[in-house]
Amino acid sequence: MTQSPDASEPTVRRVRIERRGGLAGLAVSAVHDFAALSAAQQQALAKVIDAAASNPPARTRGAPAGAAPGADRFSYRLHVEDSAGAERVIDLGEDAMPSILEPLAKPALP
Amino acid sequence: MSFPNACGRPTDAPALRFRSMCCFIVPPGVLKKYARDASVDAATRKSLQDTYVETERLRGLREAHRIATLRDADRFLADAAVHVPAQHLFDCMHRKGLPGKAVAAPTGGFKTVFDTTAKVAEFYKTVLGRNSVDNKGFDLVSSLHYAKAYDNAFWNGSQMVYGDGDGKLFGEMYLSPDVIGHELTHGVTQNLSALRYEGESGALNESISDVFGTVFNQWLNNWAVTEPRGWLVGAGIMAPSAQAKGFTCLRDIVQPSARHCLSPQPELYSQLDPTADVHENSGVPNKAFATFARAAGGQAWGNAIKVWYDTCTNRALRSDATFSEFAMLTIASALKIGGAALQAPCSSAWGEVGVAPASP
Repeated sequence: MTQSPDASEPTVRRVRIERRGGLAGLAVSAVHDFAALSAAQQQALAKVIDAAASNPPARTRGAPAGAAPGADRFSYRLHVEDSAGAERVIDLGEDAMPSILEPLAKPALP
Repeated sequence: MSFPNACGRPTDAPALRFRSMCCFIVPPGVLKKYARDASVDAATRKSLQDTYVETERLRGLREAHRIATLRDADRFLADAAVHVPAQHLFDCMHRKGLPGKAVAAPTGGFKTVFDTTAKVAEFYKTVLGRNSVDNKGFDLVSSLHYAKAYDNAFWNGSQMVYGDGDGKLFGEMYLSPDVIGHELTHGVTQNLSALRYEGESGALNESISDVFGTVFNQWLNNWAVTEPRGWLVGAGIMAPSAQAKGFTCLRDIVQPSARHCLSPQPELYSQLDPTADVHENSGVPNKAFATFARAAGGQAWGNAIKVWYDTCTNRALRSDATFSEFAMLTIASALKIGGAALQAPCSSAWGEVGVAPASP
């Protein structure tokens, strides 16, 4: 989906990243155009998308799917929209979220 | 005549008279044999006989001592089984690897975490009779300086982790004693009901950490239930820029929806959003506890927290418990601990937040 040699295949157009949880429980949601991301961020996002396609997140005991173990951890939900307008949703625990993508969903003072 | 000593070297029987000077032991069998030997003169035989009797007496004493020592060892091992939780501190050095580099001599923030964590353990021990998170003296591990500008603290299932904050919303996350109490309490919940971290059970899990964290802070500062500061979550971690905007805390257990809360919460069950984060919906049971504790009066670490703890240790508290089920158990605990006088404010507090207790 992200690095297809076939030009007719849809590519990532936009991503909405939601962050929840943490001790504060502050919810964050931010939309980013794929083209506006740095090359490293594009590459990290592509890896996340590919990994989610081949390894759906496991559901651990007592926690939502993909959640990091313990409590007060961040969790991320990525809404990935492709050039054809289709959207797929990827849930990630904070251990699985690439550090380089974390700044894309940082809270700000109200 | 010569007698073999324990080392096989010959010696003279008369020397055995000076027992206090002997540095060896003639085997009792040898003493007995020659004490009965008619070829040995009477005086020597008498000496051998006396020595044999004395040797046997000493052997008895040694055996008694050996048995007593074994019993003491048993007692020692039993004492050792009551493990006092040790603390281990680590420096993540702004990376994400856990636990990080061991800190041998804590200073600065490490000292703060060490001292406050020790106080949380003391609170659990002295107020609630609990020995660390697992009640078996589980060692307490804390890692500081996690990641870069990390605006969070968490329990990862086996240890506590603190970020330094981003400097805009939060400062160092360990600067609120209630936050350290909050994180450690997640370890307690994990070892008790293991409330599922989603939905109402997840909100209860969070609420229990807020409640025990704030009551720990009240105990630490000797604040009565009437002290407003005692009900704030995260008052010490707010960055100056957040304070300048009027945010004095993350949450206020007495007034969950107040404007001074950076993370306002619903106060009534009817306001609950089932899809909301567990930290949001915890406002309802938070307010129920604060209402109960304030109605009970005095200090929250008196009866009020003991009612909540009794519920947390109740095997009837299921991992997927609802607010309604939790309320029912707290009301039963209040009756058990303080009779009708304590049951009434507990029942009333749940009514004020709109939670109808489940039928027993």
